Amino acid sequence: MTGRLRPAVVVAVLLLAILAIAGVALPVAPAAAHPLGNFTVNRYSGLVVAADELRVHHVLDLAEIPALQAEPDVDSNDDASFSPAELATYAASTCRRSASAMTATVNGRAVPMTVETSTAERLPGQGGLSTLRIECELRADLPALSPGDRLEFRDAAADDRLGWREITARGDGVTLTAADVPEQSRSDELTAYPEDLLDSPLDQRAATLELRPGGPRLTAQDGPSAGEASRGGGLTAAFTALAGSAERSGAWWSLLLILLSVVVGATHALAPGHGKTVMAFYLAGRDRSARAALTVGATVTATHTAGVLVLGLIVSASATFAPASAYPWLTAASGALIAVVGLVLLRDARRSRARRRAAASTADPSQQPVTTAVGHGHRHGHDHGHGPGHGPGHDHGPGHDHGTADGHSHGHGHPHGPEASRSGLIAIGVAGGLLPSPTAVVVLLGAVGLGRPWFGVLLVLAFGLGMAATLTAAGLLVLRTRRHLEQRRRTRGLPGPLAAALDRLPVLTGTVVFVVGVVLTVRGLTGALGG
Amino acid sequence: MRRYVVTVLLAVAMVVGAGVALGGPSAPAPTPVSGANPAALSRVGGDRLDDLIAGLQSHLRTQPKDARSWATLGVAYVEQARLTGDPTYYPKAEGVLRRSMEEQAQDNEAALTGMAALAAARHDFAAALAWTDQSLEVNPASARTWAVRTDALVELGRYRAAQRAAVRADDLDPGIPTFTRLSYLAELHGDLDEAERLLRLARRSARTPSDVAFVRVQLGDLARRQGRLSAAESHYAAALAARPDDVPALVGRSHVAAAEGTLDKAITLLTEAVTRLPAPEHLITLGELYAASGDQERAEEQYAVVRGAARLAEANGVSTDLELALFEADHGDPAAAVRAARAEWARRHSIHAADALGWALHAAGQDREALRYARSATRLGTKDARLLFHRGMIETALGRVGAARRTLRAALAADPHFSPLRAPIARRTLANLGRS
Repeated sequence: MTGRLRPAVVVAVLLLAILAIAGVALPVAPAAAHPLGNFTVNRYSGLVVAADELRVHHVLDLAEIPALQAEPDVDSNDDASFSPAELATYAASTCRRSASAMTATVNGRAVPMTVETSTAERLPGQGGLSTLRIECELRADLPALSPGDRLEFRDAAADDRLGWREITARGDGVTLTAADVPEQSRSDELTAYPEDLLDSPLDQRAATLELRPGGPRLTAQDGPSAGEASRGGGLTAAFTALAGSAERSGAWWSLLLILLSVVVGATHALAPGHGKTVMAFYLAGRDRSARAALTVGATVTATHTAGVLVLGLIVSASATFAPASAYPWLTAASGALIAVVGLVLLRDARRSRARRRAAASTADPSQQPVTTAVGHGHRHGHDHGHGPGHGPGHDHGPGHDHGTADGHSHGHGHPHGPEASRSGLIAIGVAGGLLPSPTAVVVLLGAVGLGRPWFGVLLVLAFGLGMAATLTAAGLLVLRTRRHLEQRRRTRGLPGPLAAALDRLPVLTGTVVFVVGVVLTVRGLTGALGG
Repeated sequence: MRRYVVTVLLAVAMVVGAGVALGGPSAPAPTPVSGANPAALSRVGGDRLDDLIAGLQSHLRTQPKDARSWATLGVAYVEQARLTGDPTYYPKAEGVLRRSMEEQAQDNEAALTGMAALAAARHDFAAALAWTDQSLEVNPASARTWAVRTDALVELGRYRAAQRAAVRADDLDPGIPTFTRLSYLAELHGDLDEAERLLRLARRSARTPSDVAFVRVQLGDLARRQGRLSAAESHYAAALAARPDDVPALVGRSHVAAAEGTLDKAITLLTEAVTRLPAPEHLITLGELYAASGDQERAEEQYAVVRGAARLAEANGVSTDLELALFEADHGDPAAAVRAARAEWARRHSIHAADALGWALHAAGQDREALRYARSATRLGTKDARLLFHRGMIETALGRVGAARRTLRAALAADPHFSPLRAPIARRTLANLGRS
């Protein structure tokens, strides 16, 4: 059985790795034509609501045919080329036209939009033609806002032509309590149109926002981190808003924020991510005590806190560094780490199986199949636990008997050394904590912005503790489940497939950990190099 | 609850999907009334199509094995491309239809018919015909497959087979898709009364706004070409009342304005139309309106955009439109026009392919060969002023005075205002022929 298993496992791992790579790499294929068709005029309006003004970053992307149609308007001296002056004039008049086609109202009262800056750029298109990209910075004065104010925005020019129509909205010192448009641009401001068979071009022509004064300021690199933080859901958004709100301070308030940090950190670790999954599998596959779970938790907290602090330092020190650019690399690094851990797990699983087989054949030749032998190995390995997590083992009396009856099993459980598995645990912890949570970064920067950097560090630490608590709890849960299953097998026996799965757990978990690592690495690298 | 929603969605998708595909004839292209944007669009127009697409997209995200829904979505994308003029949907449609065939490799009639409609929309009529062959093997009694087949056969110039296919579709499931197709065939054969009768039938069964707009535009075009301008105008107005941004209706009104001699109004209307949908044929017409009003500079601006569109088509590997071949003959390089038209003639022997090749040869000075194709272009007895004008001018160039006089008179009788640039040329030439 074991002889059959090994090649099968190798093939499965390879197959999964290939699938993972293909799945990650395919969507990156480039498109020659304008992704949205040569006829389209694509428009994006990025709204930022501040306490006293509405800023709109408006982008127009004219595909080849509309760009040709615009040519007579751009080329005012008819010399068939576009001088910088001609482009500037064209940009200015286009932005004026765009501004006049937009209506923004606060509680039904219109606020007039004016053009601050405008640029136009000619980019190479298909068939030797070119496309035009026009960017406008528009603004409107806002009246003094009070909670519950409604801001409505509409771009009437969007009705005219085919194309991608996108609006995003964010607050800057103002909280959007409700918005029917997202914070983040799906097309990265008309530079990368998603190409999915199940997606139609976006068609947002209007936005309605509900406002409340107060909230975090946008950081210099307003983009990705702020956007991602808000995607974390209502709790996270509320938390970042709270942490950033300038009006309040005081001991109780601070304590509340720290507690909230712990909670948000804990829920953050619950959100889909790879750290926990990997750790859970890691613990499930090895014979581990609850101490292992704690080790991982502590490492995650330390790594995550350090990572957020470093990223925060870089961001506040440099005006041009975008945190988003670091994420793919960090993802790749943590993926590589996980993959290595997965390989080590697989190697260990193979070795211990070989050992068990040897033990089974010498010690107990009459006993049949390897399954029993493997079962033995597990039982020993697992009953040695001394740590705080021993509780569940005790509950099941019979299991305990087995453990004590088999003294030398300790030797079997650990021959590959506590050091090796310890470093594996730390590696998992580092991998899990390596990706700084955007929320934590925003909170830190917010605190720095308020002039309370140490408080920010404290919040990040609390956040990391919360994460660690969840991760440790998840690890313990996995351990406990496994112990329970093994206990049951000894007392009452398990249905065949479940027992077989339990036996192959080390190989299985090694494979999963490795594949997750490979997928993360590839995704990180394609993001870093392709994007 | 969720199961209920999915069931309803599927039911709607199947009903509407059937309608879409049945409507979904092909190729717009050369002819004004052509299967162009037939009842197809109409069936599920505008918002309903958007809703259908959105519903299918979210359904397929959770049920990606549903071959039937993939096929319906593919057909809906083809319709969306036709309705909006947005060609981005074609590659999407192809991807989705191929996915459907992966999920269900055998007897996937819906996907096969979808591929046929897609090929026709992309002007690959031979491929469209081949897809319908496959689809009919699965289900020989599918009205929608016969309808798509009709379009392919019409554009390939196999009019008798097309007529049979349209009758077959009509026997299986009479409705707007079959009435408009039969009407178009009657019009091609010069039987305008029958064409009008069939369109009135279609109008009676038109319910949705896009159906109404589509049939009204057909009726308007038919009336306009017979010089009944006020009847045409009221049809276009009704179309715009049903669908306020209907581009074909705007174009129709612009033609009426031009026929009435109000070129400024015609230009304003057509400018709005090409802002919404910069299709080469409309850009050419706009350029010619400017030229007729004496603004050669503006005319050239429009022609420049048309040339850009031609370069794009070439870069995309799309066979040049017959409209673009005619444009080259009139405003560009006659040799290039002959090359493009010959290539198209090698692919299909429709009367419009013949017309383009004949006119291109005329522009290149090869009138003797041109006449052969001009005769082929008028072989059905179509009362189309442009086809007759081209033939008449070729006959004039060859010195066949009697024939030229007859043909040019027929052209002006078919539509005295067929073109602000060419109708005056036809009159002048006729006058000169009369004197000689």
